[in-house]
Amino acid sequence: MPGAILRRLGLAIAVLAIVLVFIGPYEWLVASAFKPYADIFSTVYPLSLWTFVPHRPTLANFTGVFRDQAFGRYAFNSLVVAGAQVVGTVLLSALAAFALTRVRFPGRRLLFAGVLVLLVIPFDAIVIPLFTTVRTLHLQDTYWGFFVPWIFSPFGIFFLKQVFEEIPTELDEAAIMDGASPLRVLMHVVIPNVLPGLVTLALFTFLFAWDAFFWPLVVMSDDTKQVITVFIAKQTTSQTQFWGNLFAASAVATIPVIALFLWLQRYYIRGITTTGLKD
Amino acid sequence: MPIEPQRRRGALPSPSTRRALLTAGTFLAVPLAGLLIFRVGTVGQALVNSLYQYNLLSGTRVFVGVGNYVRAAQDAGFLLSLLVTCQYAVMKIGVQLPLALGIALLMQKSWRWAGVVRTAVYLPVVTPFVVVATLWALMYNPTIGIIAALLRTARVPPLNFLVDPRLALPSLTAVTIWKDLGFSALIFLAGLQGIPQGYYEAAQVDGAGPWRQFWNVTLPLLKRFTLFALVIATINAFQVYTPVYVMTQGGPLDRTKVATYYMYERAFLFYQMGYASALAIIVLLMILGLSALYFRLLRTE
Repeated sequence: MPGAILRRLGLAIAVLAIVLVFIGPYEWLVASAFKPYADIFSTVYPLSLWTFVPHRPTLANFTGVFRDQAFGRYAFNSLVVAGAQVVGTVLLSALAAFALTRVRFPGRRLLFAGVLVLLVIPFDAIVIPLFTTVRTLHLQDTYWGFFVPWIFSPFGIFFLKQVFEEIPTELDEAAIMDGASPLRVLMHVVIPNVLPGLVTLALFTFLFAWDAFFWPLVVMSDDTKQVITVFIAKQTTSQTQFWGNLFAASAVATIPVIALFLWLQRYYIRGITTTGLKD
Repeated sequence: MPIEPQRRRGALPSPSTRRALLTAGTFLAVPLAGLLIFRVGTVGQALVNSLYQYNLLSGTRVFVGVGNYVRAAQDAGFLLSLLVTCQYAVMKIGVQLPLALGIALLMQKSWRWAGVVRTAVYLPVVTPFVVVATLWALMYNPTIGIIAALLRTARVPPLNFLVDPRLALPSLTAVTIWKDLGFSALIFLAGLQGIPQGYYEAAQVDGAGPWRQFWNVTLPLLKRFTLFALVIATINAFQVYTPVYVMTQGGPLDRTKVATYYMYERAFLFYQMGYASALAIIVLLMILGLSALYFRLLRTE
């Protein structure tokens, strides 16, 4: 049937186009990061194999960005801030979700409805008062200022509440009969049963923190304490001619998130498809 | 049930209710205090600040009532930024959602390329936006950019993507579509997977070809997911900021100066916190209004 062959050909072209458009730029980025300065210009046109493969591979761009521009410092700052944000968000969201799903106190439905309302407030609407609040609390220009406002996360509470509700309460009852305190129930009964959910929230939070750009830009005026996104953005907007360094910095900033995503893809996809979509 | 209060209406809280409240209070104290300070309090402050002429630099704070909102309605720069935002949103959503649905159909097929497609379109979603914008600025670069090289190879006259006032906004939109396409596609995929196979079989028995099945079965049953994708895409489009900062800084000739960029300029360049708060509230109301409109449209059908 020629129709079936045409159909298969069309599908193959569609897949090839998707792979070229979505993976091609990353290939070019990584290849360029390993090219010497002169080759970045000379190999891009006319197109050849050496456009996409470094002809004379070098680490000069990486040493340039790490040694001359102290990039390691910004990468370290980003890692510390993202790590703190993950720990804080998961911990506080778990505490709140436990109370909302396991303790039958009057007003808990109303409280949860309030959290849901906060979920829809966009960042732009509160960033100005958030900035003045953080100034008032003397967190401006400190590492704390980066992540403290975000660890109280309506999304985290909402997400873990959904996750905790999946776990039958019979398990807690047995522990309570044995005289376990609520904190013990959380730590020894609930947490071990919801680890995939916690990993998903940790992953979302890490990606969110690693991506943060505007908040670090306004809350931190000391450039030595900045995070990588702000460093890269400032390099790009300064119309730098050190393209090699920019390629190298961008590649380094991308590697941890891509690696994490490829490793934990299962959790990520399930997180997206189970939050709110299937209610 | 673990900690179950016996509730008697009209009576004082029973000991078990008090115990439950105490337990809940212990667990919720820190999370709720944080939410009150950083979320509830800030929304309240944004509303109050929008009624003041409030300059962080000079420290002046004068009550002006709805003055900031009146000023916004007459501010040509702000109105232009709203127009730019709307142009951006229409272009982005109009291209992104149909493409995302097509990609979701490719991901849904049970063949070995489904995983490849999913991973490929998802890489930009998890890449930091600053890196995506930088990567594309480099690709658009007339001297070292791969896109310029491809165009030259195809004998297309050179295009100055981010500098030409007619091209800047579409070029920027292409970047954010590239970044967000995978997310929309995943929403559609969740919808497609929820359609029972029997519906297609029934349509086939009735003699419907693939095209008619798509129009009469797939699309109507995806409505809820389309709406969700539309709401998320609209909210994101109205908040776009990072690529504008990295790639064009609002230029050329303010052609990419979106509402958020204009608002942040007022707030963090000129320190007009009161006026900028009013602009933020206006943008928030537009987002909420559009979302309500979408839900209404869905319900009337």
